[in-house]
Amino acid sequence: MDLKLIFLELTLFFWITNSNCQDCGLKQKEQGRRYSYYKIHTELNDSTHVIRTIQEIRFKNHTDIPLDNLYFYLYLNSFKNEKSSFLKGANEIFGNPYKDRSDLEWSDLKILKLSVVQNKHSADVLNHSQAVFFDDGNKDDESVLEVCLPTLFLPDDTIILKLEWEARIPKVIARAGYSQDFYLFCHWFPQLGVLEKNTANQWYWNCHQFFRSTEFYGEFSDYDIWIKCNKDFKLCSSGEFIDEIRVGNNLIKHYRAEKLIDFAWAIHKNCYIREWKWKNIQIRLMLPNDYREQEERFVATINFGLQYMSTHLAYYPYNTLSIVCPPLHALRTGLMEYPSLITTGSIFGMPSFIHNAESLIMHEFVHQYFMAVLANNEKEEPWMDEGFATYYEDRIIDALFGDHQSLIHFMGFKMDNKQLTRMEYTGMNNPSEGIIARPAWCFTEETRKAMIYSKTATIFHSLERIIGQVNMDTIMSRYYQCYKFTHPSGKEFMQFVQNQLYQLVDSSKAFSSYKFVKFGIYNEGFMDYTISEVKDSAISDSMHHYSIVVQNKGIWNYPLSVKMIFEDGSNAVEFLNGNISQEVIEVKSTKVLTKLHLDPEQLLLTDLNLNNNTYSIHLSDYASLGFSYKLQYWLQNITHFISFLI
Amino acid sequence: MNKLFDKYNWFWNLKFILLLYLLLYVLIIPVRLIWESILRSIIKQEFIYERLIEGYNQDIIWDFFSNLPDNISLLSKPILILIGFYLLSNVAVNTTLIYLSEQKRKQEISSVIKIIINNILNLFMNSVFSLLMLIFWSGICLYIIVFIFDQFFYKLPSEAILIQSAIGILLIMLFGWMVLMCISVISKKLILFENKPPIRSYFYAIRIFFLKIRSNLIAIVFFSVAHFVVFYIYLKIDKIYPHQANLGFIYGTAIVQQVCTLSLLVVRYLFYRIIPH
Ligand SMILES: [Zn+2]
Repeated sequence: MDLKLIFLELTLFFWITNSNCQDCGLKQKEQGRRYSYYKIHTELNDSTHVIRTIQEIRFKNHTDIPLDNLYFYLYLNSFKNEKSSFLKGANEIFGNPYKDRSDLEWSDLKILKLSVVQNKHSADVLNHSQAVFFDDGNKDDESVLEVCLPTLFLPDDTIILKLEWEARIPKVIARAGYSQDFYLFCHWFPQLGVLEKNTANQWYWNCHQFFRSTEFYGEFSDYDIWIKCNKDFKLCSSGEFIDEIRVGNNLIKHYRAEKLIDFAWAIHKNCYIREWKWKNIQIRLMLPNDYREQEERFVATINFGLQYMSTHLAYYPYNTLSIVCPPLHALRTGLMEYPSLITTGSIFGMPSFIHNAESLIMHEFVHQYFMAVLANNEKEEPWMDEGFATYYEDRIIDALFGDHQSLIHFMGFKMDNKQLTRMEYTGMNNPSEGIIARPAWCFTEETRKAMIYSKTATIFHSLERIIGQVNMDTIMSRYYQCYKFTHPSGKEFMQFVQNQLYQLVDSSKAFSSYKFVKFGIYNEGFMDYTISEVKDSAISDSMHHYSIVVQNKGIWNYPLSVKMIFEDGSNAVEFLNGNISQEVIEVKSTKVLTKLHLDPEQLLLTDLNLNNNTYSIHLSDYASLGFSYKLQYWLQNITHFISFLI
Repeated sequence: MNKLFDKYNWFWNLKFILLLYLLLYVLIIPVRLIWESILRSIIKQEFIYERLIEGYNQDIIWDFFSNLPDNISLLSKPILILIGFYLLSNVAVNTTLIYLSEQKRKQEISSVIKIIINNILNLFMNSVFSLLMLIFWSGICLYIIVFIFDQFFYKLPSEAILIQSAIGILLIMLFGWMVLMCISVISKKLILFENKPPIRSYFYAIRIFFLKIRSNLIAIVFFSVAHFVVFYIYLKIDKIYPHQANLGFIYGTAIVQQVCTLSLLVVRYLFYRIIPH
């Protein structure tokens, strides 16, 4: 490394560590902010599936500019008909057909009254509100509502919005809705978008329409929610339970929550609730009656997850955690994350050697730290949330059930959570298809999970191996502490990671590992290192001269090592820059080289083919012989049975 | 059951079974050799086998299959033809075993072959019919499962009853397979020894199955237990055998596999002896 480069890196190092502290300080000041407060009284009529709601919102203009409009999310309108941007062009949602339904099974949201109190003057603004569709221009989409204010809303002023509305809840298509006696309410009330600065440093409403591939982005708010429904329903919700009163056949329950980006709740009749405490955290688990034999598995997994995340990232951020396991017929409401409430999924009789349910719970649970508390924009930068949730899900499940067997372990058949994640990425038809750091709506259904979840997680598993788990945990927990409740962007995260790397590991490793992560997230292209050829041009009988040709079939690279194993069992390691498509290592040795292993510690899980990182000088027939005997035995057994049967 | 221990030339029959096994083995060797050369061309110089022996690692298996060259398939047309021929031979060997299971005296190989060839068309038609019955039965069972899920999944408060029913139906389906297997064997005996026509023999066989249900149920139990024992022993031996990347280990495993295959052939033979006609 020349002096110029060292100087450059040192300057960068000081600049980065300095700016980092300032940024973090600024960010921490923002962490207490809440600009809106929601007071909601809602009542469910189970026979008509209609909720009638009176809602009040207090909202402070925290910007330095006067506002003349407000933007609201109206998620339920995504299920009003087939023309919404969410449903348009899809015959199936999450693999399920949805069109075969009566008129009464579609949603229908009617805002009956909408007034705004500004400077003690109340004005009706219902006629000054309209659906907007800036994302895709679909006039039939009503998932975002713009409300024009009668007078300018000045900085630091607070307004009160008063709404009365009723909504028929859809028979579930995705997330919110009902199925038989189970209801899930998420993004269910008119909720303000996020008023923030764009990249040009101008204030604007970040309030995207809902699409199939997008999740949610909301502002931290406080809530007081009263829910009235039939007393036969059991209820799980975000926030803390305050009290309840019985009115005839109904119960009115009061919940309070602080600093949440959404308030979700679920009710179900054919279920039971298991409550317990982990340290000071009150946990509620809603399980269908028939899943009783899985209860202890759920409890053990949740406790393990809480402990694991407390040790490796941060203490769980809320006082309560609700876990809702919907019945299988309502699975379309499941497998989602909301602040302090997660929905999961299982099936009656789920065998104990399959840890799918545990893996899903942990994924949604980890979202509490990312989607709910860091609350990055899930619509514009979904990788920051899903990628990390998958990364920690893999870690927790592997820690709970053991490496190489964490997902399934049955009669010698094993499957691993982390390795499955890697395979979802490496097994893609085209692993260089687009970049990860794109808005959710830019992905196709086929590539969405493999790119956003699996590739991101695999990159961070690799980074963890490169810098060590302790350093990885340090970076992630500092990131969490510094940026919680502030909606960090991908750019901020990357800059933070860069700073931390220079603080924690030597500068050359920091440089290359940062480059590795950045390329993985912000560029197309894959890596597939292989040893393509080894030549021995013997100098004398006792002196060998080996030329080892290492290739990278892709353009994504990282410095890596080659382990050389000699005939007498000894070994040596050579290092490669890894940044050109072909490198030749020249080795002179008195010993006979037998095997080579590229990246022997398997740091780079992002390498598409780890098998071709191994090279045996003398062609060994063991593999082809052993595998072919195994295949032959399977064929013999299969034909044995077929011929038996006929 | 007494039939199993009747006095007859055990030794000679075992020799014949061994011969049939060798015949089948010879037929499968080309398939294995082709697979071996394909695998060699894919694996080249990688030492994945040694790494698998060190410890199970699914990355190795997945990377292997997801990086298979496009022009290479482990189930190419010529291989499928060879496998098809192997399957037909298996069916023929099966029939020979059924014939042998009723013989108390030493048989000349040529006369056995003659009898099988004389009946080959009838036996073949019977096998095709048995296959159709098997598909029909499995189709009914699977249809019922699909039907109840389709009709009741969104109407019932819980999937428990549906899953229990599906498991019950699958168990009935498996038991049905065994019954069909017995009927197929009985009908082949009727063709071979009573010159019954191929399809009608099947319906006679159904009657006989229920008339002599005790012996048939014993045969089914014997069949299930014997298979379980053979596979259990195989898994045990496979586990305790020293895992090393050397030829001794690979051939050792191959020998264990073949001993199991041969044992299953003997199990077939004994199963056929128990089944009455
Ligand atoms: Zn997720």
